Amino acid sequence: MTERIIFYILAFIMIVFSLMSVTSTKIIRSAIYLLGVLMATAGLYFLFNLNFLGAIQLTVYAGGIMVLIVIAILLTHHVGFGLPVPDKKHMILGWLAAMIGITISFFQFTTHTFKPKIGNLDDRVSKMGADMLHYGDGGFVLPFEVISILLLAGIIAAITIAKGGIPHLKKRLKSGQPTTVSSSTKKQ
Amino acid sequence: MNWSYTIWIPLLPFLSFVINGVLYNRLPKKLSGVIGTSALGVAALLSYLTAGRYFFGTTSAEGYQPILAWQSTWMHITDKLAIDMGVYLDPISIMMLVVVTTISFLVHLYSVGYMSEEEGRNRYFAWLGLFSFSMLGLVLAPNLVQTYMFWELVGVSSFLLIGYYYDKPSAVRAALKAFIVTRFADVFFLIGILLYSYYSGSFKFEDLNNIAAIQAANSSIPVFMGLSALTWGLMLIFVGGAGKSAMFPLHIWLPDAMEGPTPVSALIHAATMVVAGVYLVARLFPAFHGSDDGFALHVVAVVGTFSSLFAAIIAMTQMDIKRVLAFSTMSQIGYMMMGLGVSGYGEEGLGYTASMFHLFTHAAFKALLFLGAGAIIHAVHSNSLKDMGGLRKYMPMTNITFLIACLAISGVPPFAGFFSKDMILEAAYEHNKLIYFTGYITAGLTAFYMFRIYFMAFWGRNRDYDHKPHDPVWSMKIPLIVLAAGSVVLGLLPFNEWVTSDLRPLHIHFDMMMAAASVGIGVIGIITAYLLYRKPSDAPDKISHSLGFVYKTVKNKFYMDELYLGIMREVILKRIAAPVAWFDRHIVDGTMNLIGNTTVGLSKGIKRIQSGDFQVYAFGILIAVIFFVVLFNYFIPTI
Amino acid sequence: MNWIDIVTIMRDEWSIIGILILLLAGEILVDKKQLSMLIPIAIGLFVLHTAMSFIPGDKATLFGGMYRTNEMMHFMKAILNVAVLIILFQSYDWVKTTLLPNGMANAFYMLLFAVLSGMYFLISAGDFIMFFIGFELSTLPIAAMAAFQLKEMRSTEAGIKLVLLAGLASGIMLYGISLMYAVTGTLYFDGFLSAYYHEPLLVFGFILFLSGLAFKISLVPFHFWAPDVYEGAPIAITSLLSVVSKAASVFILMILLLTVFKDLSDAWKMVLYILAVLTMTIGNLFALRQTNMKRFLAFSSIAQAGFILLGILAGGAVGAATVIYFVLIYVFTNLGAFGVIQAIKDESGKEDMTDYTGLYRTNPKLSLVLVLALFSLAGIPPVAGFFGKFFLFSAAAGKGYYILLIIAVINVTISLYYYLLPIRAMLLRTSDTPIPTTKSGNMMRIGLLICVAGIMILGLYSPVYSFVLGLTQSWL
Repeated sequence: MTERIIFYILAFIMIVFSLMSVTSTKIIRSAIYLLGVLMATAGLYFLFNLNFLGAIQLTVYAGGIMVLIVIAILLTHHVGFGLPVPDKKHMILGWLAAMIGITISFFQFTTHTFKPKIGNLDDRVSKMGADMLHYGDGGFVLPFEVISILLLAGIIAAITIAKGGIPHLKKRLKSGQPTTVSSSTKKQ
Repeated sequence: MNWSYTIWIPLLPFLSFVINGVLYNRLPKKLSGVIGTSALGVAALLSYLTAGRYFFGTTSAEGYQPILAWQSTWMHITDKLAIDMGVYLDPISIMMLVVVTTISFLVHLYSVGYMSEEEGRNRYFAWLGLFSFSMLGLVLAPNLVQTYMFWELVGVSSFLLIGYYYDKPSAVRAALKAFIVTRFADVFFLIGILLYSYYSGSFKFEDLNNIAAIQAANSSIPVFMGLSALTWGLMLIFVGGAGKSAMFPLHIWLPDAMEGPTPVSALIHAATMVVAGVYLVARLFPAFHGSDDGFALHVVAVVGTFSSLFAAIIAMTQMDIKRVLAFSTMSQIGYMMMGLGVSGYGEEGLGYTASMFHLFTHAAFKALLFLGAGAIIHAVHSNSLKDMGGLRKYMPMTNITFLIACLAISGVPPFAGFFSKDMILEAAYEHNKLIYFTGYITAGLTAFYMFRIYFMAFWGRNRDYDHKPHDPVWSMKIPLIVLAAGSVVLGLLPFNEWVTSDLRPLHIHFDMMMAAASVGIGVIGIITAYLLYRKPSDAPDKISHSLGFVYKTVKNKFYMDELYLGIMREVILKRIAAPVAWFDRHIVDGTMNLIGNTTVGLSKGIKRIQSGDFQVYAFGILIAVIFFVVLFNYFIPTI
Repeated sequence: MNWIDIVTIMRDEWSIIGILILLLAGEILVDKKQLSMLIPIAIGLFVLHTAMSFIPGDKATLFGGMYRTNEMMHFMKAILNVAVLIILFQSYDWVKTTLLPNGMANAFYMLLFAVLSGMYFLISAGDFIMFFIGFELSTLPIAAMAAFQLKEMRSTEAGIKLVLLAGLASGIMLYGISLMYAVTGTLYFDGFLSAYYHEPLLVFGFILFLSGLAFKISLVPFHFWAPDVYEGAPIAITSLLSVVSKAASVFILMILLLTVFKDLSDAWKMVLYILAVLTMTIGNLFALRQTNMKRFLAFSSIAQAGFILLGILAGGAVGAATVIYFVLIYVFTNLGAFGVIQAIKDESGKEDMTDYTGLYRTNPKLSLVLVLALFSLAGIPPVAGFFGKFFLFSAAAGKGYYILLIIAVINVTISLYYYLLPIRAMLLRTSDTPIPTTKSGNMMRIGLLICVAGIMILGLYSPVYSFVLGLTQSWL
């Protein structure tokens, strides 16, 4: 029973923080709300006795990645930088779409009987490390390696774009002009 | 007997195309015509040889048997189904072989003189070679896929030939129009092929025509609106044929296509490409005849008969000599379709033989008319009948050959047209009286409008010409003489022995009364034209004036072009394209502008990346996802 | 399974990753001024790689089912290789003049090869993890590459749009995958559906999953990103997106639908039916109104994707063969068209249809290549494109999709009209200010020559189709 209550509390925190993260007009606040979501997720892992995963979630996501995001924001924008308030029509339509999606998902979940996964979830560090490098059944060496290529490609792409500097973008950012072509020049 | 040499008949024009096309700029100016003409000359000789050997060497009690002279499997689709390329010889393909190579040879020869002043003759001869190649490939096809491929190739090469004068906007427009209209028809053709061959399980003509076997192999062929899928397939195939053969209501491209060089019109729009539709129906005749008691054949008959009358009426009012000939072609092809449509099979297959016979003789005299008109245009430098008159004094040779052609098309004995036309009318009389009378009246109209242009051009008003017109050079005269000779004697060929629906000789009897009646109406037409146009008078103008509205409607070709344009504008542009454009402008662009305007004051910097089109697009994608999810989870439970 | 197996069976992957690492080492070690020498090395190595991929592959399953391959998948990879090779040739001049001065040439090749390796893993994926990683690896680097034309605002915009919308699509897809996992309890394709295909939640997840793939193939109504990105991105990237990326996604879509999701065919046939009708029609109607050649080809390639769905709907070995054959032809045809546009843009900077007026007078060879490619796209025999369409239609007719077929054929007619427009402009019209005679580099010529050869050979030389059919028959 206690577990259940804790679960709902964590879930509630996640939903609220997600919503605030998406709707906030201050980019730095969005980042902070996201941190809340990630930490609540870590809480869920602890709740399910997946201690190692929880720890990873805290250190890597809530720690490392969030710090990166915050630093990136601080470097590229003024701290109080505000996003434009979206158009009313768009807000309504967006909410509508989200609501329909949520409703459908809700009905789908409630009508489906989930079967619990049977078996002991072993999340010891040594086991995970072995799985990562294991290339037989149940091993993850291939995706692990391919992800490293993805990361490599991401780094190359980021460096190239940054080195190329997108000079006009910087200039426009400084002078406060719009960064993309205006719609009147678009042909369709 | 060895027939494999026949593969060279299409390949020779192809070689001419390759040589003239590749050595485009490097070839001496005179040589291109020589290459093309000699290639076609040899091809024509080979066709005569083939015809001689086939018709005199292979007779048996079973009649003439089709011969697969050459074949190569070209593409395996499945284990059972394959596309072959081949050369298929049977009476009608050999007849077409003779027609196409002869006319093409004569047109090549004629063009040497006609095009002597034009630039880019090499290109012209290259396209002519390509066209002849594709037409021969179409004629010799042993299966529907090869037919379709060459059918399209014929379309492409005629597109290039009609648009030969590419600096003339009207020619370019005409080329495009011809291509689009025929392609539109070909769409139905393709569906028809797929539909029909799905049930026959083969593309080969032997299998396609064996309708009893197809019905036996498919226990349940779907029926739609009372007609079997086979009949629907055949009718769709006929739509393709009607497009190429300029049958109503797909005829609108033919008059405009006259913008091409006149020899091209003689080749494409008189003797070869436009009869491809007739040839196609004849190719599949047993299937047309056997499916649903020949319902599809009735459609052919009705469309042919109506087109024939329709075109003849319009032809009476046109002032452009080539357009009169164009409508005349449409009318005569309608005749051929009518002949096929009223025909039975075997002993009752008079219409079939008559139709093929008419195709054969028509090729001669219509090509002659076009080439003669070309000589006149060459001499007068105008297409309009108003600029002509009294030409008989200046161009005696052209005068005589043109007169022969006019007599032939009017059905005056003993010229070629008389025999074939009479046979068609006889077949129609036995089949359906209404069709017969329509054809009968059309025959009279034909005689009238042909002699109308004859008298207007060669008699009528004498006028002073800036340049004195004269008979053309010899390379242009020879084709005229050859074709004139053909228009006189070809009617005497024993066609009923050779070309019949069941490949066995057909016994025909000659009905004196019927012949007299059809000659009679032809003579009436000629006399009327003589009275009205022999001497310059204002009688024709008075008559047309008194007809007023009717005359105007006919002169404007019953406003068919305007009708199509109207449909295009009203339905396609307004009803379909406009809403799309509206959506484009208002929903897509509009939302973007809206966003742009509302946020301009608020944002600094990265405005539209976060609130621009991206949001609209993302929203669109989300809506699509939701649509499919709702559809499949709640409205169409698939499980 | 031993190491030798892993090396020989996955030789395509190893080789492309090897080239990638070699280029990376080059980037670090080679002196800044000598970076241009990496271009011929990259192209040369890739030529070898492509040649190697024509050695027939084997049927194998590695890494406990995460990676699987067979002769057909190997051939698919070979098709992708040829396509990328053509793009390498065609973009050579552009890379040299535009990217090299900015020091981006090497990155271009590295990213391109990374994308290609992602497509390999996508096709060979044996479970949803590999599938998803391959999906991302073959999408995200393209977004960066789309922004490579640094001086052009549109290019940056294209990159940003692609990365954001691809993120959305990935999110939807990942949600779908996780729902399907929740139902079945496995991420492996083998035995994935055996007992669960009657669960509505699975259908829900499947539709979400399919939406992600439809996004990548730019099927209407998931196509919104395509025209803007195609127009804004450099031509080489547009070809990559609209040809190679589309080809790879069509392949994996076909593989998954015909094997993994076979039991769900009632659901996906309906979805594909709707998508096919929408994609063909809307793609065509929009293409009618384009004046920019790139955007024009973009919409036309959206419409072409709609035709491909006919083959997947037909299903079976024959349907699969027609899809692969069509894609093979499509590669040569579309790249031929894009190549000409690239050649003209390289020289004159023009890419509007009106600029092409009278092109035949000044550039007869280039315009003939374009005419050939457009004829092939329009499906006029005897060029290859006709057979691609003809086989697709026959396959669909064989399964009784007559109404769909009629819609498809009507669309072919509409498409004929707009494919004729540039042809008319080039051949049958004259212009006072034509594009001056351009002299393309040798690399561009080779690229175009390969395309022309492909269009002609595939139209006239038949055993290719039989070969493809043999592959799909041994697969299914």
